[in-house]
Amino acid sequence: MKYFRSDPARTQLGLAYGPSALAYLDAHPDALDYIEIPFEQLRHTPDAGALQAHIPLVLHCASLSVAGTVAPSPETMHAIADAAARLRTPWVGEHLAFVSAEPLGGETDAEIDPTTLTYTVCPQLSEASVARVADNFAAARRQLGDTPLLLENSPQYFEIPGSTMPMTDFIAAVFERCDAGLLLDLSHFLITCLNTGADPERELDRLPLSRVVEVHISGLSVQSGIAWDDHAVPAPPQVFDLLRRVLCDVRPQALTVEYNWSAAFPQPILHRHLQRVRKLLEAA
Amino acid sequence: MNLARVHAVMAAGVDQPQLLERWMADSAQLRALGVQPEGFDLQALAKFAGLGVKVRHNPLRPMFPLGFRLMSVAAIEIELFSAYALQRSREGRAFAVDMAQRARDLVAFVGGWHDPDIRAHALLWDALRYELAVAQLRAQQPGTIVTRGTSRAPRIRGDIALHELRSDPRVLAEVLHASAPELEDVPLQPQAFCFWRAPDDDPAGDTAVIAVDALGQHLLSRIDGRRSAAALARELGGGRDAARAVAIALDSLAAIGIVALPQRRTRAACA
Repeated sequence: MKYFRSDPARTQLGLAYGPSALAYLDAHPDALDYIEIPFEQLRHTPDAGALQAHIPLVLHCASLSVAGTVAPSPETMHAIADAAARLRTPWVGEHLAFVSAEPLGGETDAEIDPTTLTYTVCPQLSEASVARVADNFAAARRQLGDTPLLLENSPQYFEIPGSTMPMTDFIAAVFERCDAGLLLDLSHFLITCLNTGADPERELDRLPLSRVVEVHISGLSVQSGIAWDDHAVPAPPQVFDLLRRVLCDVRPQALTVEYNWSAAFPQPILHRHLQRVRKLLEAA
Repeated sequence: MNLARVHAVMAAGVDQPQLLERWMADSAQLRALGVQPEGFDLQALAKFAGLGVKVRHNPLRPMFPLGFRLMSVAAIEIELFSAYALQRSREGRAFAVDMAQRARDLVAFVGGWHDPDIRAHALLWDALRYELAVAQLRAQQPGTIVTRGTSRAPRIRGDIALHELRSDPRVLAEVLHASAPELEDVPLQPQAFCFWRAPDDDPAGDTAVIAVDALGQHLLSRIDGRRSAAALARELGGGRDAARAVAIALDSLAAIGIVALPQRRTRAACA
């Protein structure tokens, strides 16, 4: 088995697990340092973990609901910790979002299960939410033992009811309360700026960039008047501009290109974008 | 507004978009749940529900490469999948676990959803039917590709699917493979197509797209390995003209390889 080994002098380059990543790995077996694999993938198809015989795996997760008011089940929490230990992942990356919520009947209605979604949702951006994240983060850290937990900024598509602060302030407040590393998803960041009218350059300066451990880049698409996360299309030039800007301030340990929604993602574009990222990393 | 209440309402709305519809029609229901409707963009939340459903359909992308590329180019994925999420929610139906069924369900939904007057919708409806037909032909077990019937009747070689489309999927594929596709470059005019999967041992290879005229379409729909060429001609009114037209059409189809003609008739055609 191969395991991720951090190198402070070098940002390691990986792809998000998916058919296009596996095809790229077949064609370029030495071009990647790791594959980032979702916990949910491993849980449903444990055989996917066999990939670790060829390349280190980094664990990503969408099940902790770290910004939610409903905790993951003990079974799920245990399975995440178990996967993290088994893979010897350098960290677990989790969305600063929620995936489960109380049923509409309310928490007092024990008859009804919580609502659990298949896709993470941007939380209310408020002090109450920051406090909840801090509690959930501490609980998750206890379960994960020595494995660090990174928090990934969510894309914001619309104003969340009851919010009292913009996304950047929310992230800053969370990182003041949590001893977490930042998984900076530059596409999520740009999407949030586009949808809220914020200036990306200005907001980037306000992020806790010194906490960045990993960077994600992926595509986005503007549809029905909103910018959306889209891992089936290439990242736009603005994302690379933001990456260049981030690399002036910080040397992340890992950078993951997430082009994992389409098996037909053009391999030449994938290759070109990895080369482009590599050049930016070398120039930084 | 209470954090848990807001999250509960958002999650319920994404999970069951028909609730969003109700709350849009009657904001008092939302207020009763502890969430103020002012400033809560329920339309945007409905679109977000569409994003989640779109992602859940990613496993279908290999089956529908043109369809998904078209949806992306025309920027209609969110619009389509949010409408689909709402429909399934109204019907109380979960998305099929089996991917072949999920594909059929999606195509059936688009059949009812698309506006034929919108070019991107019309092209999508054609692309999805074409790609579903091809996928279904490819999924046929080799054992089912048998040539049954009498030796005196024309028969289909392999499997076919007949569709009437308004666009040629080959032209659409060419346009969509461009770096900046122009959907206006795909002509829209009614046309019959035969999607043909040759027998496994045929050098024609994988599934072919063949434009057919009205007579070819009719014959391909009637050839069953039992009707003779004369019987096929009689179905068209009989007489020398019908027989001649059927003979010419069958020869053309045989030349392509879709149809196998009876041995004796082939010799006559060669003479």
